[in-house]
Amino acid sequence: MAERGLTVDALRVAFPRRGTEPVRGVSLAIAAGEAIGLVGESGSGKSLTARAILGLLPRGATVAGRIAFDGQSLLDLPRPAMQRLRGSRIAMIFQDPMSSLNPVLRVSDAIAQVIRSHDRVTTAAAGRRALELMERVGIREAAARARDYPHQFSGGMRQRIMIAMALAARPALLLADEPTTALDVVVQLGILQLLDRLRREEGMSLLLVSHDLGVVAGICDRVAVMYAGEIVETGPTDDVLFQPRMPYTVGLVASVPRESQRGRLVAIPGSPPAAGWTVPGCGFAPRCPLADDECRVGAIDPVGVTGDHWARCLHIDRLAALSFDPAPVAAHG
Amino acid sequence: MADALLSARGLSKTYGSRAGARPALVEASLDIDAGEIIGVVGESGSGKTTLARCLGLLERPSSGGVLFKGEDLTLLSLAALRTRRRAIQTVFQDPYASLNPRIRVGDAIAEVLKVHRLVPRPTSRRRVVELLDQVGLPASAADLYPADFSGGQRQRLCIARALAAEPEILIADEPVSSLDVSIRAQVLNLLLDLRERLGLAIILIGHDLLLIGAVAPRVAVMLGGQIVELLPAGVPLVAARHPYTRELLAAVRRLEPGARIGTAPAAAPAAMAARGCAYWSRCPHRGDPRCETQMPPLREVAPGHLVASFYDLPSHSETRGHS
Repeated sequence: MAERGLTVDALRVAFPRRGTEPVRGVSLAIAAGEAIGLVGESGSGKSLTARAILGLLPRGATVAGRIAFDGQSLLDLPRPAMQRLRGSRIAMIFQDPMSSLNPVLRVSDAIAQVIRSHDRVTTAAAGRRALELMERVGIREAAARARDYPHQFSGGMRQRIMIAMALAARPALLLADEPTTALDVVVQLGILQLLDRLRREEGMSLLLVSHDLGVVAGICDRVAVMYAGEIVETGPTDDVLFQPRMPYTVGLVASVPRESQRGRLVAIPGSPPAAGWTVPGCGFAPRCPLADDECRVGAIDPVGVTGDHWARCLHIDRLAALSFDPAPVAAHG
Repeated sequence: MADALLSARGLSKTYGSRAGARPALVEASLDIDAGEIIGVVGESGSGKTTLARCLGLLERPSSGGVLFKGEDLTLLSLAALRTRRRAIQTVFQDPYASLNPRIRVGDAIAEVLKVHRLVPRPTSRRRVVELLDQVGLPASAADLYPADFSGGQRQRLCIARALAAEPEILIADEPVSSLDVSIRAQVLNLLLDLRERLGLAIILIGHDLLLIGAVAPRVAVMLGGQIVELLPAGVPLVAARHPYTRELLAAVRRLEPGARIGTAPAAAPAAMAARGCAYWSRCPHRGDPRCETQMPPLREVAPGHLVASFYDLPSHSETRGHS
């Protein structure tokens, strides 16, 4: 197959010993140069989905389904081949740059190490390229800071160094798992702009995993919303965020205050289920004001909205009746 | 205002003794009225938590006063302070770290009743159930351990425990930052309800200007230990005048059609001197030699609207084209 980009098909991640299945049939496709946002709360399965792509699942996890990158199936790739792919064709950055960086390695050496592990270049050449990368990700006075250690940088600058390391081997796909969650808003904006610019300039694909709708809306072409291990709604970013059809997405979007809003916030009642905990039928039914018996029986198939915008909901034509009242205090959260 | 319930008067706090380091809190002054919700917004290192800790009597300020009903609490002995402490309760960011995992939650709440001798022993169970109900948890919760609850429920437990002391002021330091997005609104709505039902004053601290601004009528914005702006009730966030508040507002990710981020470079974090205005290095109005060495005073630009500046800063409508 000559298809470019990443295809995930009916991906399932389970922990048989715990008897849980936190990812239940996730399918998504990222074309070359496209940015997709994977949105969900803790336990929704979004991070496990991203980790499954790189074969970085925790011990005890089993994977089923199909993951293909540029036509090559990743799930049955032998370990050494996967190892070569990791960091070179597909790279990943994480939420906490401090625990992902080696504290006793100077940052330029850390970046150069990545370069040398994928390219046959001299130490000097790798050092020069490390410096270029530091400049490229917006580290001011890169030459003067190259010999510094991670703890000498701020959180935002550390995340830039992580991005420089991820870019070192010119990956075709970058997986970013909550890359800005630990950062202040002003710093966050800078990192998002950097990711957006790099994607455009390098033609890189981006999978941005986040709990924050606003972050995803900022740089993604398409968005997929996950709940209880499934993608419950997906489509072009503006369609999903401004004409959401799945009641969960509707509630999530409504709960983000607008600039002019004062007073009580729109709240979804109840809590999201713990990872891997499932109910028959729609996972959101226990919290959904529209849910009826039909919702609690079997799997809910995607229902098309327009174009490639779909939602897993039996009641997308009854949305007018949906209202998340400001939550009564007695609602148990 | 002389009749404020709780006031910070020129509060400063220096940690450690490193010469030349900027204090965590610099001459912060703020009045909190009985029964009001006031928001305090800032990024990490802005001093918002230090302000909360000083107001909550968890920390002694290096200088300045904390006035509760006109009495300066910083002058009291520890023993005298203990009797006042009941009235000012704090709820912290991480509900996982704030509850003892080995104590049933009912006992944790009853402990507060006992310490403050608020209810006679035989009726304490009834009061615990009442408190749980107040935060939307069933009576059966009392016999469970913290591990049996989700993050949002744990934060409700922390609020119930704080309410057990029958406070007049609740300080909520980033109460929803560690909670799932769909739970945040529930907990903030609970705080609004409690203010209404119990007449509680609430100091709501957070980093999300839109979220805090939606819930709190008055909002103080902090940077570098300094309160740079105080927006009064009834004034929308877009009317903010301090360039830092405006910068924060511009950086907040909004959910609006075409919410794609622009390409205008994001501002770099301000480099702060040990003294002077925290925003000085980035301020378009700098130039006055005082900015570098003196704290700009909070000046009233409109009724109740305070801005820390040596200059007359224009209102948003006057500079609309700029952003």
